[in-house]
Amino acid sequence: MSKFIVFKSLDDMPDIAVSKARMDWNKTGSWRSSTPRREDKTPPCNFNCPAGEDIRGYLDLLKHGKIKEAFELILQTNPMPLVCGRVCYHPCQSQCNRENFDAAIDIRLMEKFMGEWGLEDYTPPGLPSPGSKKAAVIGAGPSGLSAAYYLRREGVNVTLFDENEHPGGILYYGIPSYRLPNDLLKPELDRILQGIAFRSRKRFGRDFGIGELEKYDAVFLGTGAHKSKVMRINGEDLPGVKSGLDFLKKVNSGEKVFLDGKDVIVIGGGNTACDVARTAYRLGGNVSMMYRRTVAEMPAFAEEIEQLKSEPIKLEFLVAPSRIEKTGDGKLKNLYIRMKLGEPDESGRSRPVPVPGSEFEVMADIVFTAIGEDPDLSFFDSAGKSSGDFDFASVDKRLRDKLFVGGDILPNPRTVPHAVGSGRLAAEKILAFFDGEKIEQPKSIAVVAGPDDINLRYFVKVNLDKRRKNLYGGDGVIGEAQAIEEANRCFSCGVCYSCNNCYNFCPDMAVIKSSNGYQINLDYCKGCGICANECPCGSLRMDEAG
Amino acid sequence: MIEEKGIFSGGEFCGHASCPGCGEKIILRHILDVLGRKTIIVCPAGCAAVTDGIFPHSISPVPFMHTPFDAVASCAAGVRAGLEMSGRSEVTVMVWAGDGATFDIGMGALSAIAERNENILYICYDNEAYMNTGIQRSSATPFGSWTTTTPRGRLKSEPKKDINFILASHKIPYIATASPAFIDDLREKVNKAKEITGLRFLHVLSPCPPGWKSDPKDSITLARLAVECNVFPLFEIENGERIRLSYRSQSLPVTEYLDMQGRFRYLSEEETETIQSRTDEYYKTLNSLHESEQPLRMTMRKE
Repeated sequence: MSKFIVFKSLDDMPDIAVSKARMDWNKTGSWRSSTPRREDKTPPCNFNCPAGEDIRGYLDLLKHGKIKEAFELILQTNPMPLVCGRVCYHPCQSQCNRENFDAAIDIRLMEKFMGEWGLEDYTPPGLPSPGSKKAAVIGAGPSGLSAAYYLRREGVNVTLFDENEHPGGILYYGIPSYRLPNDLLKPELDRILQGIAFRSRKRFGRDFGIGELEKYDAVFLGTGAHKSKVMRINGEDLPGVKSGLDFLKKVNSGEKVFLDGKDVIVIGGGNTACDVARTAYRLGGNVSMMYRRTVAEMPAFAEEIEQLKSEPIKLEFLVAPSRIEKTGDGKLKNLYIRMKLGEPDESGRSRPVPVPGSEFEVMADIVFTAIGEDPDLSFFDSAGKSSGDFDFASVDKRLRDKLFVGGDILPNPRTVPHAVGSGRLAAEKILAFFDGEKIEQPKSIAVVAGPDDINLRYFVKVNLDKRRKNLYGGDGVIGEAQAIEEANRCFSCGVCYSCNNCYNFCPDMAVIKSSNGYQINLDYCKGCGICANECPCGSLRMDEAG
Repeated sequence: MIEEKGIFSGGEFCGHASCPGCGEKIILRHILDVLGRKTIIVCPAGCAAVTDGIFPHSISPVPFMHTPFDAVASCAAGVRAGLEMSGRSEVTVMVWAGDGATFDIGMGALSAIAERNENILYICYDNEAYMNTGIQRSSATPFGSWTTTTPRGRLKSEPKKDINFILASHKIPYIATASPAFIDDLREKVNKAKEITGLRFLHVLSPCPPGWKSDPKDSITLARLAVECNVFPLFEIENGERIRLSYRSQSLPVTEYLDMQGRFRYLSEEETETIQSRTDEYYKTLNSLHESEQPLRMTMRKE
């Protein structure tokens, strides 16, 4: 730093007026009455991702053409981008701050692109050789796969058990092939299962018990929810009345099921009911769907409902089954009663109330029930699950202390990304357990970047028609160029993306570029506030306190 | 984007006396970074001269020569001649003058070096009044603006002097307007001007929070809105003949720009409409001349 020069005598003075030193002795930071602070916020997409993906992060990498890095960033929190790109209900996208500007980033399409890229162009790095710690993962559905994958990545010796022949659980046996073809699923599962010992046709409680689990240091239980709820009506155990989930499993296992010209009734309004109805329609059935509330209360994802509506499936709302009878010609006579909506129940939705005297009958060949599923925890002597959360106290002592659970057993929403997230979290807990630590829930509350944090002057609205043609013209299949173009639209809400604005626009050279982002040199910052005002994504704020 | 040369790595440029949110310092920073060390700044009286440093200190990483208000162009011509005689023709002589020295006081000397097509890069940071001495109006002050010499009730009734077309009539090789909000464009224009021999004139809008009565944090926003509202369009003129718009603006209403500044607080509705219609007219004319081969018409603005 230059010193302030004071001439003590005439002899010190130069012959002509010429500068001898710089001005940096003049710490103009003392002028400041407010101070810029770097404060990254949480983007709404990341905040809403049940799997905990850094969506903004991978879009930023994709933007710069770093596809491999982007893919690896996804793999850090979600081992199955291809699956999620197809079946996730993408709450990330519905909360995108760009929605009200022109159109939300099609994050799901981005993830699907990344997943497909990963199948073709990605070679995973070598795995660490398995160490001394052994973990058993029971259930090869989304949560079990996720837990197994993250344990194996950290060098844990993982054995994965599943009652079925193929891994994937609900992904393989539950989700219809028009949403997730098994030939696409398989290569992604192969990548996840690298280095993991998979034991098929091993059902916990039937083919092996707690005794066999003794040689494992930790056990993850992710057996999901497969037990169809009962309707508690007469005739539901008749041969023609079947579980919708079992039907999906049969179809997905490759069994031939013929419904040609048959009258099929699907009871329920959730995602399983939608899948059952649409699958039955594809197999030639005349399908009607019966739901006891209205379309607004359907628990199925909005997109599922939209697609359901676009197919010739008869939808009956505000009807509930009251009795099913077998007629002489082998048909099923269904008695229904009309409902009306009453007061909201504990789920916040209006409770359906029967309308007296409104019974009517419908004939059908087959009735599929899909009114919800419960976890089947019969392998534990006691129920294993009290109301709501998993009840560890009821589990056998030998298992209790090393048992971790995830997926649909937990009272989370029953979605693939929730299961993936809970599986990864359980893996983290298991790793901490191996190290003798315990993971505490983070106490800090995320500050989510809202639309007001974005400086819209730095973003240009897209031509929506052109975008639509570009993104969806190829039947939902996009190339690298389109993916990069779409990723480029990301606002990067609340997170610095090194745009250089704060650096470029500082009149006082008080913003310094460093390896960990921009730093403010408070010696010279006069607190004008340009940097915070011109930050496109709201990652800088002015602190009035100085 | 013209790559950074890191000319300020040694702590230069920090500690200057410009007001918070000063546009002039943002612009100068980037210009010097593009021009590099082989540059001599010739600077008349004005904000840049007083904020550069206290004798014997300077923020400048290159020689910075102070000159009298009216003589900056002549002094620059002298520096140029001296460099040529000593065989240092690779050095860029850059004038760094405000609107007072350019539009008013130094206008005669500027016209003279333009007529002789001296090999000088003349850059005007235009904050649209004599800000350093206390916000007196200049011929660069826009119509309807408040200054201490055009107070409320006697707002400036004359439009801003159209300096670019005055210089275009001298047929100098390069003229360009620029805004600090469009840093890439500014840097590219400086780089282009650097490679041209003869008189090059850059006219850069320089937001001034104390003079414009605006919030310091809004300096860049204002520099951007000036362009987006067509109040300060970005264009280039080559050889006084060919005009090219460098940026197709969003043509926002001028009120978006005016309403953020206290100096336009006293505008009547009629005056605001006058500004809007003159702005539209000017931009229309620029558009009609854009990349056309015809020589420029001399009267650009209807009074």
